Amino acid sequence: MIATQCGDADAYEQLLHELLPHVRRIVQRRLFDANAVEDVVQNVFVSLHRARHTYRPERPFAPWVNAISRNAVIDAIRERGRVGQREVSLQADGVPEPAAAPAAPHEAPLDPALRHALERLPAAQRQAVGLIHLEGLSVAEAAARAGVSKSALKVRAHRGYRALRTLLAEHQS
Amino acid sequence: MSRDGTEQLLRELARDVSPVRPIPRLRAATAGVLALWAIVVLLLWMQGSPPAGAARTIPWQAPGYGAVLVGLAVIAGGATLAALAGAVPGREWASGASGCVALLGLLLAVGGGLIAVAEAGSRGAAEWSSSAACIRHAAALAFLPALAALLFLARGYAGRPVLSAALGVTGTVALGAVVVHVSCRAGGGLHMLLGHALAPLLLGFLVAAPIGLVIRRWRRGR
Repeated sequence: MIATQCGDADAYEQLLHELLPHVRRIVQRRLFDANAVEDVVQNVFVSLHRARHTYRPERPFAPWVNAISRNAVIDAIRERGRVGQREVSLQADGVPEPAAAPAAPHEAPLDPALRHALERLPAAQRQAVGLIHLEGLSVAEAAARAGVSKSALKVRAHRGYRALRTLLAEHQS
Repeated sequence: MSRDGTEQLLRELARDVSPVRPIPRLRAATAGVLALWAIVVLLLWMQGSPPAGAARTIPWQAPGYGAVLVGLAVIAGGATLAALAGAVPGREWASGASGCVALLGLLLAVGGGLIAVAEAGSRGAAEWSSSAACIRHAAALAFLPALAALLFLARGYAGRPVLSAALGVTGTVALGAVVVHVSCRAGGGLHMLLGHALAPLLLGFLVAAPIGLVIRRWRRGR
C-alpha cells in the first residue's frame, strides 16, 4: 500500500488482485442479490482507489480496507433502494415491452416530430430509448450495450419517455 | 457485470494510479484545530477581550457553572475527535468512543444549565437576546477551527459525512463556548443553558446537513 501511495502501478495491481477474494467475501456476506455482487465489488474497488490517500502506513491495513468496503456496500444497498423506489415498469409507464414492438422497428420511418424530440433528449436517455424501441433490444441486451445495469437503463428509459411525452405535447400545442 | 469486468476495472485502476500524499495523522489534525482555537483566543485576549483580570471574577460559586464549563470542555474534545476520526476509514471505534464522551459532556453541560435555571431562575426576555449574542460569539470563535476540521473531513473519507460535519461543528463551537462561558458576565440560568450549554448542539445540527451534503457531493465529484 505504501508503494501504491508512491504511484507504483505494478504493486497496486498486485495488491488489488490480492484483495479481490477478500472484498468479494465481504460483499457476498452483506448482499442478498447474487446478481448484484460483482457490481458492488467494483464499487468497493473504486471507493478504495478514491480513498487510498486516507491510509496511514503506521496503522493496520485490514481495518482500513474493511471499513471502506462496508461503507461502499451500505452506499450501494441504499442506492439500490432509491433506484428501486423510482423504477417504474415499462408497462406501467404505458409503453409496450419490446416483444410487442414491430419485428424490425429500426426499419420503420420515424415521424419527424418524434425524431426532433428524440434529438432534444439528453444523450443517455436518447440511447436508452433508442436501444429498446428503435433497435428492438431487450432491456438486458440494451443494458449490456450501454454498459450500465438493467435498473439504471430502465430509469433512463423511463425518464426519456416522460421527456418525450412532454416534448411531443409541446409540439402538438 | 461480470468477473471479467472486475478484472478489467482493477487493471484500469492500476493504470490510473498516481502518487498521493497520505492524510495527516489524527493527532496532528486535532492539534491543528486546537492550535487555531488557541491562536484566535490569544488574539482576542491581546485585543482586550476578555480583560486581563477577568479570571478573578469568574463566578465559580454560581449554581451549575462548573458543570457547564466541564461539560463544554468534554463536548469540545469528544466531538472534535469523533468528527476527525470519522473521516479516517478504520478509525470508527475511536470515533464512536469519542462521540459517546461528547454525549456525556452534553448531558453534563445541559444538566448544569438546568440546575442553573432551577436555582437562579430566568430574567425574562432579556436572556433570550443575550443568549443569541453569546451563541454568535461562540460561532465566531469557532469559525477557523471549524473550517480546519471540515477541510480535514473533506480530504478524508467519512462514512457518514453529515454526522461527522455535525460533530465537527459541535466540537469546535463548544471550544468557542468554553471561552464565552468563562468571559460572559450576563448571568441568569436560562442564559447559561441556551447561550452556553446548548450553543454547540444548536449550531452543530443547524449547519450539519448542508455542510455534510456539500462534503458528500464534493467527494463523489473527486
